[in-house]
Amino acid sequence: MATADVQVQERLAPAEPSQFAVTWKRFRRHRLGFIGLWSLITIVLACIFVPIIMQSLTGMTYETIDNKALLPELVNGNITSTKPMFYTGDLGFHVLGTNDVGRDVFTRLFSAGRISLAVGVITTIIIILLGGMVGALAGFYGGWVDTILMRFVDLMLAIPSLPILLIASKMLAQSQVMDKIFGRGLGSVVTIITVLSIFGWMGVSRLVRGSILSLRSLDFVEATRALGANNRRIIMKHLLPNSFAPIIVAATLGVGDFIISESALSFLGLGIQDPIPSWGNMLEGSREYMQFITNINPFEEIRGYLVLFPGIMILLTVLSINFMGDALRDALDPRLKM
Amino acid sequence: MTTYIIRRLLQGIVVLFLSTFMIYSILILTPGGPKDQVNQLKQQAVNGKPVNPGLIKYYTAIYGLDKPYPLNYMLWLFDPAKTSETTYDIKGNPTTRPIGVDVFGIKGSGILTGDLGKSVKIDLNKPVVDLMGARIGNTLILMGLSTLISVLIALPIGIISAIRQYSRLDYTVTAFSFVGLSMPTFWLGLMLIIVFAIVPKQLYNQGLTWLPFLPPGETGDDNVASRLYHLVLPVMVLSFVNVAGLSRYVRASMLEVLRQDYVRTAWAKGLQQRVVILKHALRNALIPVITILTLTLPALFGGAIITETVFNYFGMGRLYFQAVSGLDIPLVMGFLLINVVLIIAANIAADLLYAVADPRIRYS
Repeated sequence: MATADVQVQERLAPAEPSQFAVTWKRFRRHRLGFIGLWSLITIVLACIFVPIIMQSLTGMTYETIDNKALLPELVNGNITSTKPMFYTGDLGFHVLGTNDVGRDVFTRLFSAGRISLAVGVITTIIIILLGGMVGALAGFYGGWVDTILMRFVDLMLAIPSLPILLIASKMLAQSQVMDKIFGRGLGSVVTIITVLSIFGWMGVSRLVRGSILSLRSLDFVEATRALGANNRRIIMKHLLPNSFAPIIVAATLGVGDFIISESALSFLGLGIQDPIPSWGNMLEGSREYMQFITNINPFEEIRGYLVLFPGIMILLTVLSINFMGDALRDALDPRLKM
Repeated sequence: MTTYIIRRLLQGIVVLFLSTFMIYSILILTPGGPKDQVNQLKQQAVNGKPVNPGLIKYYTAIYGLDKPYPLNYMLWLFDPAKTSETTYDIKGNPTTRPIGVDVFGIKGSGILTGDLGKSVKIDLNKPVVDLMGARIGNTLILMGLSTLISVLIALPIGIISAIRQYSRLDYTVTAFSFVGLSMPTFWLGLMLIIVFAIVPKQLYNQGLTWLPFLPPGETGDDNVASRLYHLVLPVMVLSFVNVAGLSRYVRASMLEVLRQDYVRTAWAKGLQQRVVILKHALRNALIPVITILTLTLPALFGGAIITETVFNYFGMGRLYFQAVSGLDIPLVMGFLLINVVLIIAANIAADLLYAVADPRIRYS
């Protein structure tokens, strides 16, 4: 009887909380990080569903041109026509009006969010895979493999990053290689992902190498080897999962960085090309009408205010991601008492 | 120490050659580069003859496309055979004049002789060095001023928020620096233009109530006061972003130092707060900050591409952007080359300064 009770009690005893549960609990205590997480979820859901909803309600996509909303010509900064310009559509569906070629800004804002977020996430996944592979190889094998790979990383880091991004994306866009494969609009997205990944993986590889180096000499790796595991298994199953924490933080912050880089390139006209919207090229497109922002009569104004929204979206998204990354860093750091 | 410096310099030179080789390869081999340009020109043919044979010859000569790939990098560095320069007019007729150096009987030309080549698009046949020389002063003023201002703001902010950790001020500073780090600079520039230039100008159009956002010289008066006045907005943008990053760094470094035993000893000795903070803690906290500042030196010359473009500022960054837009490869290459040299030099300088500032660190 007594032994059975003990067994039952043992089973009822609270299990050791999992790593995920511990991290989640610590993450939640970081108030800004928690806010960041929710605002990011909101933005992502909005980017997924707003274009779908707008399309089902009005039939408008990001590239539908509403001919009634065409902006009057600007000649030497003067408006040549006095047609009402804040055109909200027959049923008022252009919530934020339309842009200079008559496309709905509200829909485009969230379609652009899809593109910007997708570029950020896909690029991050690629650099994590690429940088992780290089870092793991260098850290695990050491010796000349390490020397060659890490000197190569040093070389890549000696090249100034924004200038090389600009010229590389300009040349790739000029050659139209991606456009020939993926079509004109999508080609520019693929081009920018390619360029950002090629020049963005070095940080991750250094990070992974460092953490593999410190793990490699630990006893459990020796034990695994004694059990007959080969190198590939040791790297994939034991070393990489254990260096997961810094990678996940770098990945989170990386998404934000790439969103900024992408929008900067698109803003300079070297990134994503119309009609595919991105927050950067929306800013670029509305920039020349910026001077009309003081016209406050909503029915006789050129859309000077359009320059506000894409920037706010970039700022909100990247801020949420950075708050989240900071919270994750704290939550995943076992040395930090919270 | 001397052997360490020599070793680092030698390593730096090797890295320099390898990274310029990499940049050269990227610029020459990427699709859309000079090779494609020439191929496109060759395809623009009427009756089997290229429309512009002069331009084809010109590009081929400039980029060394008639030579095999790794060799043309060497020749770009130093070409002993090239002691004269031939330019072609549109029909392909050549004109020749001598170029390069003649040192101890070694004749030749190339990057190693200090010749960065000539612009092929922006300002045809104007030496790259001259184009950059016209802009470097503006960029140094802009970047120097904004770096100075951001250091002057970021240091006290970082120190105070480290001393009063978890105070309201600390939270404000942290939130502010997050906003700064997440801020797209081009948008910040546009917003500042709206708030400080467009709105005041259109609503109260009189005199100095608005800040100019176009480069000086637009209004005709090109004096020091006017130049400074035109610098306000771009310097504001750059300082905002720099302060955000730097103050966070100062704060972290200061927090690290404040936890050390010798600071506790200083407190225990009964020293005044001012002495403990400024003399014992700050001096050590500044060591990593010096390193970070040294590493930003290349940006002083490279300029801020985005901010300069937003404000149409007549500096290196905008020149580079123009060069990229026009695919002016010699100009791009020259800019990248100078930047790489500065980055490598700044890295070595940062390590050396670290040892000078912190006697605990010894290189051997």
